[in-house]
Amino acid sequence: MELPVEDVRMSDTITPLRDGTMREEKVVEFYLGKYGPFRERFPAAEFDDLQFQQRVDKLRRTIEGMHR
Amino acid sequence: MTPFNAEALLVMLLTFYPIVGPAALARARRERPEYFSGGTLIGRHGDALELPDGRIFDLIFDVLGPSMRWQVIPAPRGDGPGAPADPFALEPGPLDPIDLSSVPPPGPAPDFAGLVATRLAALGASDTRLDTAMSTIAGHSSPLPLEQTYGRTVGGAAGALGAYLQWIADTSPVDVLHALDGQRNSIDAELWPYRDPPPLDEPVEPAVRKPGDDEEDEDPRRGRREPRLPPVPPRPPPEAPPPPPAPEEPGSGGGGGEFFGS
Repeated sequence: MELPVEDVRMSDTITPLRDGTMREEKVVEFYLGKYGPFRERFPAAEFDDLQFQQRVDKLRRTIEGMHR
Repeated sequence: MTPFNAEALLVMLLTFYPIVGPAALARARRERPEYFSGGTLIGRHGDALELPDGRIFDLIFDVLGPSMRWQVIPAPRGDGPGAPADPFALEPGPLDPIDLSSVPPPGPAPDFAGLVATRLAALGASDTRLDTAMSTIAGHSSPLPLEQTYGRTVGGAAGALGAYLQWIADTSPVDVLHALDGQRNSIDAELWPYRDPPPLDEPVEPAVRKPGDDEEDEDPRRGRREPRLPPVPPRPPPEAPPPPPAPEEPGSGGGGGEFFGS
């Protein structure tokens, strides 16, 4: 099953925490073929393509498992 | 607010939350709020999602049971016990629903093929009618009646005209003049006074036109012209003495002679 990553959109969000600090995150919205949109949050400081690709692979395997 | 997508929510729960339960659902709601589209977890175990538009989805099958697993199934609203209240329930209105059983069923629709067959049957004799009309026209297409009518009405014109021309050719103009001379003596040429009574209404006097009036006529192409003023007599030169007044003749009326007299 072909599930290419399409329509990727990225945005930055800042969420205030109870301890008074701020949590900066990067929200990535994307489609896997006709499925989606998926919206995944990543720590802004640790975000890289590897983390994004790992989550995409997990979601892709789940979708493929649903159609077996 | 992001739109709700049930498939994406189910795939996310199956992928990142392998341990199924209300606690995992609450955690997913907290960590990934975008998948829930602003909805809130409701239900006795917090296993249902109510969206802001009122839709409710059941997210856990067999909650706290042996076969508990993720699911995203729209939960139908109902009036049974434990069913959530419809936040957009309609109020009873003044109109009652129509009882369809009281409406008589519509009659059978006319069969198109039957309609066409009926029309064709009505037109079936058209060929016979056309043949009859053609034979009637053929029967009356002989020129004999027309020639008879022509000979009776127009055909005798040549003979009648020939007889008239022959009569004119045989008549001598001299004989006509002699006949007129004889009629001159029969005319009463004596003058007699006019004895007819006068007409009741006075006749309209015709307009008297002078030779110069022709130039004042209205010309439709040039528009109406202003009436011409009477001619002004020429003034005498200042050196010459004024002419002596003419002696007034007794019995002469009017002063026209004072200006135009020589």
